[in-house]
Order: sequence, then structure tokens, then C-alpha cells
Amino acid sequence: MNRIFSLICIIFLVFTSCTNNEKSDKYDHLDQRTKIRLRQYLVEGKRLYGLHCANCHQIDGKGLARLYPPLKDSDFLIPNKKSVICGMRYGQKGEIVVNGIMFNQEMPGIPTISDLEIAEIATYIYTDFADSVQIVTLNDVRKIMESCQDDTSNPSKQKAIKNPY
Amino acid sequence: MLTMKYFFACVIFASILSSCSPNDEKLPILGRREIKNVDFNGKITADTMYHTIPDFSFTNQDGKTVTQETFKDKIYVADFFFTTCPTICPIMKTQMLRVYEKYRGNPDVLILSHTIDPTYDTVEVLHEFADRLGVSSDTWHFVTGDKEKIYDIGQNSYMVTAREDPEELGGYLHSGAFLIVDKQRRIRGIYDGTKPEKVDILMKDIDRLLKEYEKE
Repeated sequence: MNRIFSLICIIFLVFTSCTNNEKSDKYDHLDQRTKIRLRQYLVEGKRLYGLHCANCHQIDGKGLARLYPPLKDSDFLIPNKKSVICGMRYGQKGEIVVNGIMFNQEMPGIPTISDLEIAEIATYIYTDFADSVQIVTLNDVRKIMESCQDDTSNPSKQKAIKNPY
Repeated sequence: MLTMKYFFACVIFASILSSCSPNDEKLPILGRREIKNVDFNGKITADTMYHTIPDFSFTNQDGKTVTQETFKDKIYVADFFFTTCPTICPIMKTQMLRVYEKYRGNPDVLILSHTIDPTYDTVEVLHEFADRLGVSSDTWHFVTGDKEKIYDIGQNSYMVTAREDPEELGGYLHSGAFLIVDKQRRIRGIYDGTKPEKVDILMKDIDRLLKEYEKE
């Protein structure tokens, strides 16, 4: 009986260690310094996401019905990085199509959010929800923020994704 | 050794039994109560008057008038929200959706969500909101109406905070409370609608209340 139990334990350990390895493989193309920075951004980004975004987009990023669009596996994130980043401070209005579903709920911006906080949230959502491992750096955000003011107030300027259905 | 074994068996058996026995305790009746003298067949007797929800008339997401008659012989869960609320409402709706999913097939349980921003939340806006949430007015009424009347019934009858406040994010101050109202229009429980574990308790309490009526 004891033998079987310890065997199960060992198998379990082997499995969990394997999945851990896989997870660190995800960041293997990055150098050591970037990896550490990415981790810092992710920890802080996750906390801020929970504070500012998860009310609507939910902790798991899956959104709520047809009211609040998903971020998890969303086809909107990658091609619309600029409006995603601008939207955090300035909000977003009007119709958008995410994964073939039309959403039309105004997202209020957070006027007081800092560039660094935006960078951390963006890093978190792009890495964890869009599976594109990359740091959205403070410099990236600064550059984008300079250009956004005028076109976030006008959603029609944002490139809409074609409905695949 | 053998007695030890028996002892443990007994403990386990007893704990199983106690976990299975239903919670028979009735839900409390909340709010101020008054003792009034009533004329009962010519005899004056004292009777307890409980706090109840008064008559009301609002319009739901389908443009239909909703009154106390809509909720006659129903248990319902009430709350206050507004569709453009950036703070606690989305969590409240996520949680209320759980209540909806659980009781949608049960004609004895309804949901009543009052908007506290009736100027913006018109019938059309509420209709779109309910439609996007994927819920039907068979179970879940979203109502709009006269602002003063909504605030009045919120503050004085449901005993929740609901008012305009320019200091607040979104412009309104309101509590995230969910309330259970019974078939006699009495409040039987108040729960924090922003906390999943409190909403678990709310659903257990609805089940208890349904059982109370089954016995009658």
C-alpha cells in the first residue's frame, strides 16, 4: 500500500516539475535581465489588473457575456495595441468587434494611471492573455501615449476587425 | 484498540448525520417592527407589523409596467445599480448572473434590479443591457422610473444607500447589497453582492426560504 502511495507521489512530482519547466521555457528566448524585469512587470501588472480591469473583464480575462469583451485569447489585443494602451487612460467608446462578437459598452479611462502602471498592465495582459511574451516597456508606453489623445476620443478611427463569421 | 475503532466509527457516523440534517432554522425578518392594535372580529388584539416593501410601479427592460403584483407570491432578490457604473456594478452583475442561472427555471424566484440613473438608463438602454447579459425578463427585471421614487424606495424600504454623489467615481454612491424579499414583501436577508462567498450564502438562504413555504 505504502509503495503504491509513494509511487503516485513520485509520478505526481515528475509531472509537476515538467509543467514548471515548460513555463520557464516560455521565457527562454529572453536574456536573464529581461526575464527578471518581465517577472517584476507581471507581478505588478497582475495586481493592477485585479484592481482596475477585473471588475468588468473578470480575473480570468474572459469578459462577461456580450457586455464586456474578453481579453483572454482575444483577437483584438495584438492588432490594436495602441488603442488598448491609450484606452487605459482615456477610455474607449463605440462599437468594437472581438472574436466575432460586437461589443458596445463604454469603457471609462483612469485619468490618474501612470505610464509605468499602463506598461505593467499591458505586459501582463499581452503575456498572460494574448500569449505573446514581451515586455511593453515604459518607453513604448510613453511613445504611444504622445500620439493617442485625439483618436481614442473617436472610436471610428480605430481599425475595426472584420467579422470572421 | 477495538473500542478506539468503535469510537472513531461513531464520531464519523455522527458527523455525517449532522452534516446531512437540513438547517431548519427560519430566516430572520429584518427591519423595524411595530406592535399595533387590530380589530379582530370586534375584539381588539395586539399584532406585530413587520417592515414591508410598499406598493411601487416602475418600467422594465421590455417597456412593461412592473408593480408589487408582478412579484405576488414570489420570492425576489433586489438590488440597485446603473449600466455605466465603472466600480462595483459589473461584479454585482457577474454575481447576480449566478443567482439567475440557478433559479431561472423556478417560477417562484425573480430578480429586480433598479437603476439609480434612470435619466441615462432608459428602457432601450436596459433592454440592450439585459440582452447583452443574455437574460430574460421572465426571471430578471431591470427597472427604470421616477428618480425620486427609486431613491425613496431604496433608502426607506430596501434600506440601502442610493443617491447621486459627484465625489464618487461614476457620479453615484450606492451599496452593493442584494436583498431577499419574501412572499409577504418582508426583507429576509441582506448580502454583499460583490463577494462570491456571500452570494453563495444568499442562494442557500433562498433555498431555505423556499422550504419554509413548502411546509406551509
